[in-house]
Amino acid sequence: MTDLNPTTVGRLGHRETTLLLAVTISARIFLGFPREMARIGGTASWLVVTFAFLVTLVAFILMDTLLARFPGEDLIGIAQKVAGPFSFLTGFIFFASYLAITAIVMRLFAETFVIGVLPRTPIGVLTGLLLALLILANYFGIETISRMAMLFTPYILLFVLLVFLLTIPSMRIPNLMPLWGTGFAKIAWKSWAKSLIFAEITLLGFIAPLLREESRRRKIGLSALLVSFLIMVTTVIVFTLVFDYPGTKHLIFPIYHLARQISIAEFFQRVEAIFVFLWFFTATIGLAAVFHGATYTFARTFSLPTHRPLLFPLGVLAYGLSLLPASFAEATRLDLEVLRVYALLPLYLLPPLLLALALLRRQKGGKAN
Amino acid sequence: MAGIFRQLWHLFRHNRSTIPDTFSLGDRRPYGPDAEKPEPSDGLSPRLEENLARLRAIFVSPTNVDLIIRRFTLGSSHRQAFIAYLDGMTDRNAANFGILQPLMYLASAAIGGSGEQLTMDYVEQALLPGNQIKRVRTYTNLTQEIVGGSSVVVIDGLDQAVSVETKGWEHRTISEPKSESVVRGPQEGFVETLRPNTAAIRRQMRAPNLVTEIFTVGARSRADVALMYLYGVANPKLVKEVRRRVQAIGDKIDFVNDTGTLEQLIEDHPRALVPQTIATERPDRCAAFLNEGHVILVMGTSPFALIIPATFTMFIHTAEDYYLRWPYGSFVRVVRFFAGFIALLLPAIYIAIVNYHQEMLPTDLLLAIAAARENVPFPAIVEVLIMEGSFELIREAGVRIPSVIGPTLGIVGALILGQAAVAASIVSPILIIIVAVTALSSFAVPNYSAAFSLRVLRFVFIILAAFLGFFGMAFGITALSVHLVSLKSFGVPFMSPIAPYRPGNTDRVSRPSIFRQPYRPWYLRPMDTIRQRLSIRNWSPDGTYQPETEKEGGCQS
Repeated sequence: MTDLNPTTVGRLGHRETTLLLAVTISARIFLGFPREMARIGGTASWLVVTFAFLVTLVAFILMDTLLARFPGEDLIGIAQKVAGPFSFLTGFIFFASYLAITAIVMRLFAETFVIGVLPRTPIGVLTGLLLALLILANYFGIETISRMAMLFTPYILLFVLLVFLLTIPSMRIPNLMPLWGTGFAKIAWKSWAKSLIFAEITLLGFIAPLLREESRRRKIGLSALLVSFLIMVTTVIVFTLVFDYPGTKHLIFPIYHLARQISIAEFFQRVEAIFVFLWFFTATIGLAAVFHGATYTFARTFSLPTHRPLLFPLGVLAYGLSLLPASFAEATRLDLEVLRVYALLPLYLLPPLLLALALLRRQKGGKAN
Repeated sequence: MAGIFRQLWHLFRHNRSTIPDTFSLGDRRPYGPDAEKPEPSDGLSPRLEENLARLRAIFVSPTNVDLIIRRFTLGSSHRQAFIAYLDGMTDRNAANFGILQPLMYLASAAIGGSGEQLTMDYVEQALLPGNQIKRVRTYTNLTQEIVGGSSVVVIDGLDQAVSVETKGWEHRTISEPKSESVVRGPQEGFVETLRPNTAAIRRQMRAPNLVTEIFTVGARSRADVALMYLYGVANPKLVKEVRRRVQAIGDKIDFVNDTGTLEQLIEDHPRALVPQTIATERPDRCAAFLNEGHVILVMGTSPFALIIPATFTMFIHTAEDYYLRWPYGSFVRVVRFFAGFIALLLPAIYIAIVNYHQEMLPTDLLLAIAAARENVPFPAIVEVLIMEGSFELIREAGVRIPSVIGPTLGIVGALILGQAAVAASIVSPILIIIVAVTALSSFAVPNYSAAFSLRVLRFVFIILAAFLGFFGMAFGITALSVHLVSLKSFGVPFMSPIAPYRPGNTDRVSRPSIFRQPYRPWYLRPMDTIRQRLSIRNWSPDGTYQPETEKEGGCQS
């Protein structure tokens, strides 16, 4: 059972949680994600996403089996039971990973705003404002964040879908050929490492005890993964269809360029400024969820009774980290080539390890109350 | 050292007291802190004179001329008695014919010469024809009865008194609601008297289990607050909580005279930007919400009732939505929702586009705006603040202006919001249009409090847009949303049934057909979830409604 006071943490509905996880994972469609996929898969970037999804599926099912074995416990609670003193390490790894994701994604989003709409604003201002919202949302707790997701996700999806539909005139089917891109085997080998683009799904390991119906946990995780997979795979396919793969590979800011393609009746054009809202809502919700993961795991690792006093110091830490990369390109490289390949690997490996330990030591959780 | 200061102080005091001829209330309370007086017994005395003296002391009579005391003897006996009431609060006929006449004339035959054996039971049962009679044994209750408009009868030799209900004061007759008028639907509104208000609700909802509980709020103002709910529908925890909060205020505050004040005392988040209860002038609306499981607070001195709890979508609903057929009802709601959006954001959008996102506009429109702004010497933000500020002035003046000179306001307003301002090159014509559309939209928001919160927030968004364009606005919208979803109104999440999502409640922005709303709002956790049968129109092929969520147990989440 979590130590954290439920009144500051709240309770989660299954719809809210599904959408929260889905929007947190697929927030990257607004960043450089389609470009990186095209770089690996060529015309078959959809295949990269699919492989990554399949690997994540396995990792998730293992994590879910572990959670099912210890009802009412989060991953750190399980680690404390199973791994004893090493649970500290588990908690710290999760904390560091989430803080790193918060910092780097915050930087990337702030950069997109600078490039897209506010070229003369210092990046620190935009990062600072984003951070203020993360702290505000986390002050009210994950319940509020999940409800934000419920409130905004339908409209975000609707607008993204609208953009996709409106770019149909610029789509060319032959852009998808050759179907297997740079080669099936080559892509398969390269994409397992990219499976960490779904790494935010591990957040479920920490918010699951707060679910109103914990029995729905597996369903929530699977549908969140499926929804985000569909969003991401549609995105890369649309990009390949519109820009073809060499074009996509060189887009600094893919969805912004996609929105610029739209022009209807000479009046409805250049709508990309409206996208600021979509980016912003997605960024805040996704980042707030990951930042919750960071503060929550920190509080749990050090057995603190509440996470609220941590918000400001950890926020400042994330702010400082986010300003470390020298440039946008550097930040993108850090995200996709360092963070999402090696640094976050423990997120997928730790739960199976804990599961193996639990099986080995024949440990099992009691009934959740 | 201390001595010097004391001397200076005396000098200062002396100087002050020598200033002649100016009236002042003095620099301290006229009476010191109340001395520890032994509390006299609260029970009535059998001696008439003692009771009379105590009553006069309580009401500061005879300095206070409102308290009328009429002494008399019972019939032909020598028993002394008096009746006491407040002038203007009672119906004279009721006092004359319902109390004095029977006790003075008719009592003779009944109690005989000396009236030694007279008991209060006999007086109550045989002598006083009033239909609402209450036995009073303490001065506290006696006082409460008198200030409530009753007349009390005190008889020598008896340590009890009888209060006869003789309420009758001048009050406004039921008229059309001032702030919530409709074209289609009932045209009656609440007044400033409790009983006509509760009766108006009861006429709309004749259920025997419509419960009215009455509390007194305010230690000095002693206003009546009626708590109304449908027993067996409203969640008892909700009723208990509202009762608890109203009672908790009770005597702790001296003066509460309107539901506007009461609302601020009982709401969950006093620092929130939005209202968390709905104030309505319409009994029909109260009845409809009672039927859903809400709780109503009616106050004896206020023509506005409070609907508790309130959720976000209720603020864009009106009573008329339900009286119109669903396509029209839905249409006006969408218009209203859109109006709220414009009232909040349009000036900010203008500033953001003009300052930051010019590329969004088609070239012709952009040129038109640029040409119009050419003669204006201010930046867009100043221009907008001038116009919005002027409009707020017009609006505030419009509410306060005496109706005799009302037409003046129209003329002056037209000068500011019109050609003169443009001709003076203070604002551009397009801004006049924007401010006018914003103003129209803010009047289309049906709830007065909600419109206020939009008015205030509009300026916040203007500032944000001026600093950071769409980014600033997105920041504002997200912060506002975080604020809204974190709110609760009497335990109900403010944004339900949207977030948290409740699939059974389709009455959100669009207004579904009446027969497609079989369930009460689930977020109220009503005791009876079924509002109506699934097949009301069973004579019609499309009358049977099978909701998709039925297998989930109705509107459960």
